[in-house]
Amino acid sequence: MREELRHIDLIDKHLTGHLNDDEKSEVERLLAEDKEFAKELEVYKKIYTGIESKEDQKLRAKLDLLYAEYRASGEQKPKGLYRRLIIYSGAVAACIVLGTLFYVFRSTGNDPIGNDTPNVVDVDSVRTQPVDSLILKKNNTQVTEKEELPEDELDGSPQDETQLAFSNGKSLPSESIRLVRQPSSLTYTFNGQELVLYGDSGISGLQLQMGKDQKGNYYLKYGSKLFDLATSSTINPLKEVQEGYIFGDLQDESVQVKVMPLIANSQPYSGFTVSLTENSSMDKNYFFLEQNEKKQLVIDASMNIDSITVIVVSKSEGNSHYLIHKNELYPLNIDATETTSLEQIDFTKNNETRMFMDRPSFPKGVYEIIF
Amino acid sequence: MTDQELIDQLKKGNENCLQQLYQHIGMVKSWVEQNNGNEDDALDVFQEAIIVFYKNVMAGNYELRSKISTYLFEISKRQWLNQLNRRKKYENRQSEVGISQRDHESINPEITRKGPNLREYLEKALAKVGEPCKSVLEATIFLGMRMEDIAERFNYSSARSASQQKLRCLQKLRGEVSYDVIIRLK
Repeated sequence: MREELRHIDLIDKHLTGHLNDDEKSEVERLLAEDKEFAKELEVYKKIYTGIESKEDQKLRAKLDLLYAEYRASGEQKPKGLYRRLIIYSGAVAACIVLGTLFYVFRSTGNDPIGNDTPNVVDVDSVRTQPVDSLILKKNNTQVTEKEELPEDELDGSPQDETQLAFSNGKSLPSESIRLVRQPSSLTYTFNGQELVLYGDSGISGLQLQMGKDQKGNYYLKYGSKLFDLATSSTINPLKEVQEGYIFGDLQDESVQVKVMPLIANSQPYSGFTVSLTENSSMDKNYFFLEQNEKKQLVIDASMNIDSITVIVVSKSEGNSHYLIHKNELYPLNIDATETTSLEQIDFTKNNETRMFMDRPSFPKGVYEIIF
Repeated sequence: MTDQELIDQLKKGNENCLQQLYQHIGMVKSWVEQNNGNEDDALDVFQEAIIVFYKNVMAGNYELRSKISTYLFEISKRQWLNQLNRRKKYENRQSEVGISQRDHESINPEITRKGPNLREYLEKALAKVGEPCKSVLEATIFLGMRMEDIAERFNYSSARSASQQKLRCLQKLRGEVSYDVIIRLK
């Protein structure tokens, strides 16, 4: 019995090309001396060829089927650019669901329900949401309807896929595409009790110090600079004060400070348009499309269009792009011209993403300031 | 789904994920059509490319250096160029020997259909051996899966014990196969 397995091992290695030198000479010797071994080798050669050929045929048949399905799903769906996304995401969903069943089935023997901790569930597991809420500026949601292109205008222009895409997807109102310049100058409003700061969402309370001189004027120290805080109900730039000063004692007074999130300092952006096709699968995909010198961000995901904001952060080292949907933050790659999946990241991931968070206001004690 | 995710799914045994690769067929189609081929030719070479890709992934020979789409396109291109060369040679030879295409076609199908078939014979033998042997043998012999991966997929404690299992499966299968029958099958 042992001898037999040993021979099978040699034959297997011979047929798959894994023999080492010693084994090679052993096979040669056996072939010369042992008629039975030579016969066995012939049988296994047939077995290997047979399995390879039948599996090859099976795989080809399967691929034919998968391709037929792929094409059929393309024919049912509307023509145009979105076809690509829809088919693609459908295929992903099918492959994960079917594949998962297959896998569970395989790994548990033959009882797909018997395994109560299948490790494949990871694929669909949901990430926990960050607790921080967001401020999303959106004044004018009815624009959505205005911006939708009437469908009958689009028929008969098959050469322009972008337009067809519009008829399938909803377009995001232009107010929901925002540009933020980083860094930008600091601006504020102040009414004597509350200070609201715009322009740098990365400011922490520890970097600030409030001062009040004998005449009742307020000042703000941020970093090494001192700014004059004249009361203002409109957003004004902070003015630096150049005089020498020292801080005295803490007064029995405090000012509530609110550092506004990045988005509050944004302006509408028109560098590209955004359209959304809602799908029902778990997949969230996007790509950027450039056609007729117009750039378009195409999103395919089960998202609510009114809860989407796309943000362009303009920096000296290049722009970065984000999509915010409710409390979810997704980075976008402007160079993604092929279907790319949206990967959620945490708001606390880096300094830039932290600036999207709406942080609560905090009190700052006021110090006496002497010039 | 990213390229890496696709590869992971395939390695887990989710063969249906291969469907996604068809989103890259457009590029191959237009290239083949520009180079003396038609849509069917493109489909053939693309399917061939998928098989090459899939086997390489499963055998652990595929490294994600470039995009899968690029890889598939390159293989398809090579396949098609080879096929063009072969066709050219075949045509030359035919014109030399003077066999017409029609004569050749009428001979071919009869040869392939004659007698019992090696594939069917093995399918039956494997069915008698049963699981997990059937899948283990198919995965190692056809896909060339490595023993580490076999151990993981089929829950064996180590690559070594997977190898042992494979040998025992081969032995079992051999028990279902008759020398006199199989040796004559094509």
